[in-house]
Amino acid sequence: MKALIRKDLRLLAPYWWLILPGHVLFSANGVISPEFLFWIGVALAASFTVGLAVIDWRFDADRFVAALPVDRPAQVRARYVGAIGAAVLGTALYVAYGSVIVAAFPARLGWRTGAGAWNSPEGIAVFFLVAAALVLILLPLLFRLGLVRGIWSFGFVALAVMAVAISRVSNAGAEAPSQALVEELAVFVDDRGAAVAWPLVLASLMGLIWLSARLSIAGFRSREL
Amino acid sequence: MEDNVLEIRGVHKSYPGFTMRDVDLVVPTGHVTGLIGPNGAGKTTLVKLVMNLITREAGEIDVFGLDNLLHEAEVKARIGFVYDEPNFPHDVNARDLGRAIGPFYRGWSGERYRRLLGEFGIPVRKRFKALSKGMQMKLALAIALAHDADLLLMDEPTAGLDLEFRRDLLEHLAAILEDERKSVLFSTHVTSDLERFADFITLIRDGEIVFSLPTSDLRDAWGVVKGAADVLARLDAPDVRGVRTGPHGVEALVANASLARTKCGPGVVIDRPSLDDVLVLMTRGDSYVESH
Repeated sequence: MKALIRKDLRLLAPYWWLILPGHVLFSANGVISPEFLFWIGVALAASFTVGLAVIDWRFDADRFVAALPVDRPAQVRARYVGAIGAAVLGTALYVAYGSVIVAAFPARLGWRTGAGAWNSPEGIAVFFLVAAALVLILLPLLFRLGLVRGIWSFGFVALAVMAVAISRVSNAGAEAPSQALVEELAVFVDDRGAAVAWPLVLASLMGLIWLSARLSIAGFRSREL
Repeated sequence: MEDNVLEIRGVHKSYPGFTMRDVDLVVPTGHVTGLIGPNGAGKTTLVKLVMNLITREAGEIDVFGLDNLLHEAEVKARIGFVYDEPNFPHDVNARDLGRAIGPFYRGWSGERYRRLLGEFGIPVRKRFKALSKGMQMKLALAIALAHDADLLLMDEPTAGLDLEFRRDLLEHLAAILEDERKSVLFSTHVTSDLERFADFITLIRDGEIVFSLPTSDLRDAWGVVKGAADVLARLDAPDVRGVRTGPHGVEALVANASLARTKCGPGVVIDRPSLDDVLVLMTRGDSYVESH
């Protein structure tokens, strides 16, 4: 597991000069609105998973990895650890960028404070859950179908999810999709109490990770390289 | 130590337009086995099955006496695998590639890797994509050898290399094999690569193993009978493995050259077969003749 993650980081090493300034540059645009920072941050957190898949695909490296002395379930597990780790790191960066933007531009529009704010526990949790959900949907498709067909399929799934999200947002009269999610989570936590709600959220996330990983392992096992 | 480093029994695999059925193959420990056959015969499929890159539909594959699916990681830790196209990430250099791959292998030796890079003349800081095709293949070989693999599995490693580079690569390989007596399964359709150092030859055709024999048997016992068309009538049909008819007569590959000499009498030329003769006559001749 450790060797696989180290290998991924090493293979990404030649691209850090592109990734790091790119991350800062894109996130700086978060000054436009909290909604923009939210979605750009989610996309950047998910891009770690996509980036590694692109490297594998571009260099036919999944065949190279398949020759290493690790079985396919171990490869899948390592990719999940990396992807969830990237979602955690992405969340930390989201909070950091948001804090800098709020400090530098206190009068900037749309940066709500108090309950349901971008930096409330619900706001941060929603960011992480959305970033994690993206990779939990994406990874089984990538492992089963490979990069090109996997990304296409993910596009269709994402469109369906967006259609549902937009209809829910407009029904709820919320200002923006991420804001609607934060408010829903805040209501959920209020209704059940923090001591019950947060363990439930965590358990649901673990269940989704387990389900997604099972699908990825089954898909990757049957994929011919 | 097992007598056979690799045993394949009754393996079945099919794709649209291609079926590999009931394949049995044994690769003896400490020897070089050449797997030959025309393009599309099933060489790469067989190698991929051993590496579990594709799934078999039936049969068993034991490597080092272990099932290759149940003990996948353990088996792969002792295999040095060289693809027909080296497929390492292009922007990584040889030094960093070694650092990324080394931790996967208990037997990996950084010092041995550096020595091999030096012997092969591979610049350690040059990106993979900047290396020539031959250098890329040598790098793949260095990686395969750096973890002291017990079995080298090489799928068309010389494909696309020019003659000089092929000779150079094979000389390096031969020197290493002579020193260390590793087991090797070397698949190729460039049969001349195997003439010098394969101990056993396996011919695969249309997804079936046609024969698997010591190279010395092929060299010493088999023959290519060359003569007029009527020479065929004098040969024992079961002994004839392949026939090619040309404007100047026929060539027949026989499994018993001395018997053919007796049957044909003087005036008929019987040459020792090259592996190329064997491959051409048994796969592209006038007809396929079933082996025993």
